[in-house]
Amino acid sequence: MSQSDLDRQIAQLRNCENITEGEVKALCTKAREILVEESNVQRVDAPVTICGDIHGQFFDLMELFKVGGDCPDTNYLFLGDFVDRGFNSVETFLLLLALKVRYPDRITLIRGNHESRQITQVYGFYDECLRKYGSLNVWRYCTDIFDYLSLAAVIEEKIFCVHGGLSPSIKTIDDIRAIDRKQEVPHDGAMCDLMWSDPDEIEGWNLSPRGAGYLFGGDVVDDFNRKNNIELICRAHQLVMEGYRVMFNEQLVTVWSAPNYCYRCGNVASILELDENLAKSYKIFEAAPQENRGLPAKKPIPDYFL
Amino acid sequence: MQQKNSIQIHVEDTNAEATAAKISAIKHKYFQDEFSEELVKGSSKKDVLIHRGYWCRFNIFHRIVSTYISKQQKCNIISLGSGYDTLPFIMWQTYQNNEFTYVEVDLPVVVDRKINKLKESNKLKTLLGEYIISQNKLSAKSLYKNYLLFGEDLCNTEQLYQQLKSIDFTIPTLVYAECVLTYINSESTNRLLDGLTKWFPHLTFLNYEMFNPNDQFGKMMVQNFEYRGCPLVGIDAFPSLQAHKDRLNTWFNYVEIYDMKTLYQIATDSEERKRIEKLELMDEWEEWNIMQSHYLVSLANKDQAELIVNLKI
Amino acid sequence: MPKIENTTGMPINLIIDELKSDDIRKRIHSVKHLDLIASTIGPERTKNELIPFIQELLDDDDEVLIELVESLSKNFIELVGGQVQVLLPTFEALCRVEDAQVREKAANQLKKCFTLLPDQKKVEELSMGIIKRLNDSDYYLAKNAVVILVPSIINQVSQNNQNELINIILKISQDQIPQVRKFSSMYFQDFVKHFPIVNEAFIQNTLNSFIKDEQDFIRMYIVDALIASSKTAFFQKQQTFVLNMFKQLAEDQSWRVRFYFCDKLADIGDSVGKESYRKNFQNYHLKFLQDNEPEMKSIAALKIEKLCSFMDAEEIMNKLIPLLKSIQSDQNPFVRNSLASSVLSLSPIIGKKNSSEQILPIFLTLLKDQDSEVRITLFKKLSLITSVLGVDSLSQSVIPALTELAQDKNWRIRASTIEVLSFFARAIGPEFLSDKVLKLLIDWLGDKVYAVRQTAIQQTALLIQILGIQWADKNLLTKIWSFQSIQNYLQRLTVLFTITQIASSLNNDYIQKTILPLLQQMSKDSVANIRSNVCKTSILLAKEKGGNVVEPLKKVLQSLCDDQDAEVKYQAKSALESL
Repeated sequence: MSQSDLDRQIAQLRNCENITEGEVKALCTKAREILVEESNVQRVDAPVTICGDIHGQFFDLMELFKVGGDCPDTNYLFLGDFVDRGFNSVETFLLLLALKVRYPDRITLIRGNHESRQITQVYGFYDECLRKYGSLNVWRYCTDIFDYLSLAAVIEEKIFCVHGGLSPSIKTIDDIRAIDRKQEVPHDGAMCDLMWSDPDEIEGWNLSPRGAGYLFGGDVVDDFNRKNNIELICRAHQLVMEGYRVMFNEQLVTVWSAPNYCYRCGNVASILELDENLAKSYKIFEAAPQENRGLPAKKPIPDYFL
Repeated sequence: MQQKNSIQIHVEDTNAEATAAKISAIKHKYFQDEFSEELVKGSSKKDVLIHRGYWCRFNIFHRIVSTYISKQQKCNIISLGSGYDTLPFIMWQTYQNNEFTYVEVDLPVVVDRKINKLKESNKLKTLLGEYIISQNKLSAKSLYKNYLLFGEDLCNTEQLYQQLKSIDFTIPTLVYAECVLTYINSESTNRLLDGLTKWFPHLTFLNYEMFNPNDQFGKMMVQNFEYRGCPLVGIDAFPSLQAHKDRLNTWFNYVEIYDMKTLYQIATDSEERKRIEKLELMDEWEEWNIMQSHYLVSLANKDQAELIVNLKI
Repeated sequence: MPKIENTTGMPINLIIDELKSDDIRKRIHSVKHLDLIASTIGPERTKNELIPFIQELLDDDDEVLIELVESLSKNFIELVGGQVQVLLPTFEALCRVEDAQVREKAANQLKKCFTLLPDQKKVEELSMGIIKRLNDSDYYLAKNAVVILVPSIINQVSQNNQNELINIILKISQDQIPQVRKFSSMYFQDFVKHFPIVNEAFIQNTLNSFIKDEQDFIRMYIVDALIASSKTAFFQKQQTFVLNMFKQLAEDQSWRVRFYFCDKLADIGDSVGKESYRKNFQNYHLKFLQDNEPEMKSIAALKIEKLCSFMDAEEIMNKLIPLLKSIQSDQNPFVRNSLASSVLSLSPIIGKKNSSEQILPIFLTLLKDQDSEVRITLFKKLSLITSVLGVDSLSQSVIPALTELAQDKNWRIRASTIEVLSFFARAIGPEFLSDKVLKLLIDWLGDKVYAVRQTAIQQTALLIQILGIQWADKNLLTKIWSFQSIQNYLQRLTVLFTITQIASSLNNDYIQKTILPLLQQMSKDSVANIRSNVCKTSILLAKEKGGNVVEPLKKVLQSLCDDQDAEVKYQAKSALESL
């Protein structure tokens, strides 16, 4: 696959047009070569812009790029959950993957709990692949790639980034490095917790109502940050109506990047811009207006109880 | 403001979608209903949140109507805006020896469709017997059971009364509206409630509808329904649970009202709840809570002494 | 037609098989690729095997049917070798489904097929058959298709059949189900076009029954039918009838009907003629501007733009403008927004003195509106008033509004506002770009949202084209180049993006003196993204400008060939190779 092929595919995907199954296979093969070299906890340099869940909301991803700047001019770190729920998981994930292949040093993708064979069969990515490609090959190629995504990232040794949150089995960042990540997201254990846990106004740990991962309190965050010399934990995973939420004396922030989630929640989204000195700037944005969402006939009708 | 680009799905089409969602839930083992597929074919899978929501609603309505029928000697059940609902058939399946009259009303164009589907279904013909269909083809009675289905706009209170005349108004009557009233303006629904409470001396009223239009989710919900061509015209008049309660107190002494988020916990059996929670992993907690905070169920009775059903278990 | 390429990665036979799959998602995928199947198997097999096979799909889910009608609407006429009659049964069956979108599409495809039937003598027989079957169907909604099809063939069939069709429409118009009557009302405008095949009495009687209908969504569409009728001889014969019916609609108690009427008022004016409009309908427009319903005031205000061409200057001054004073302060922002979009079109008609006395105050009020959408709408129509009052007098009054909009929290509004700069620059010249305005531009160039910065850069390039590089050098460019020392790399990038955008306005001397030092400096930036863009900008300048700047630019690129960042290295090397 040549550079110009890749550029053409990126241009197509930016137009929300699908690439062929053969092209997906080649893209994933190339992506694996790059991702396999990345660490469980990928080191990322500042400056970088951190983005939370996207969930297949392609046109809102375009809106995100309008606010934050195009890749590769802007550096990006995406915290996972690229697929499921929205109507364009395929185009969303493949675009980000193609950008990763083309500009490996300008964009980092880490794994979310939806980057999983099990979850994608329930929440839409599997269905979408079948509808758009008629077979499960594309789904297989993508879910195989999910296994190679890093579990976390650290920015300039100071900001720890993960999709969900902390784990009682993980005391230091090195503990994460010891995990064998090249597998389906397990039902429990350290790797699962990183993708599923949530912060909460409690002390210590509680079971999570999600059925996987844990709830962890401010004291746990305090401990972890101190022990690992971390200033801030930056994570996603939970819908935030105002786009982002800072907790525990600014030691943890949740960044959510899918505006008007599922086309019904009416929330705003955000991205966190870090400049070369780690100065923080939260940018809020709304869902792309109707005119910018592709063909008028294709406005998705969200489900309600009727 | 008028939405110029609305795609004109009308209120009358919402029932097909609701039934398709129910069938998806049935296929995933949330509840049993062998009749829904007689009315709507096949279906794509809905979200887990949708499955659970329909289960909760079905569970509540099924329990209330069942209890009502089983505790009465004779009674009427009237379903307003019934769409492709199958509860009457399920009731006859279950309560073969009880005496009750079931009436279903919806817009003429919906009833026309339902009658056609009833005619095509052997299963339902076996249960209900042959149908006696009126001249204008907009109402049907069945031979074996006290089933009456007719088409009428709920805003036409006078005509509604005329069409109901064949039943016995004096016996206990449960009227329910499952996701209907919000589509109608509040003056008309006030007239409707006024009428119903005048005609039926022993009336219990059960209602499920949307509410809470003023927060972010509510505003988006109102917008989305307007885009579909079935605007929630009745939602602004009574935006909160208290407003709904006060309104019902105009005619009913006893009003029990909760949002669906609360009802999920207090109005359903905990073992059943555990069972359905194991069917599928739900990774949409925030959304479930927000969504269910925008739907309510109210149960109202004129006379508390006559109350035989409750929302809260 | 060229053969469609199979890029699905699945063999054709599998795609065909999956048309019957139990899995709805696979069926959808196959239905989406019906044209691929047809193109592969050829017109004969498509006609004889595929189309009949599709008939069996019709007992399927709405979701599949929606895809099916889309698929068949694409290029199937070619794929069956022009033999459209084989498609008729399928489209007819699709006219009977529950989904309204599918029915309408299928009916319109049938219309198309009739015009393309190879044997045109068969059109009458086939179309009458389809129409009668749909009309007699047990299923009321099939009449939707009937009202679409009848007007398309009524002028091609025998007298007997015409009478039968008229009778069918009559019954539909009187159907007891309101949604069915609505079909007839919606499409009556197409039916009416066939006057005198459709005779006077019939049109009058039907419209009379519609206007008495209790449902407003049925009365509404009479407007369209009347407009259509006025393009036929019917209008000459029944002018009074048509005008009176229009008036009834204008006074309808349902605002939705009045709204629909007002929305079409310009078309009504065109169809009845200016004189008649002024005599009969002008007053209704003025009345609507005082209606109780906000949607009515809004649509009436919106339509001022089109309707003012029917009014003369005196009427506008004496009857219309007094009403606008209350609208400009209406509490509903949609109403004020509608006014903003149309009030300035009055200026050219009433002339300079009157505009200055009457329109300018409204303009200045709306310019300070609390709703930024209102202000932006006003800006978009600026040229209408500046062409009358002159740009100079207005340019100063615009500045406060500009300043506020420049800080609006909606980034699209900030971006739209920037475009006003080039408008005034073109009209007045550099005096408009005072220090105050220049500061706004610099702020936009440093906006926190990327898209706003991009728009600002594009406007900068435009301004330089209008006002010249000398002006830019003296007043603007130095400030932009100073961005190179901003801490945030995203802001520093603006320097490089700007150079790229204004390249065509730069001469080589300027590049040598000012740009090259910039590029050399920025090639040592600590952030790789900056260095990447130095490469992109250098190669662009080298190629566009040529001459004595090529060598120094090459040196910049060479210095980056050993960069530690892989992307920078790649950019530098491939840039040098292309030179």
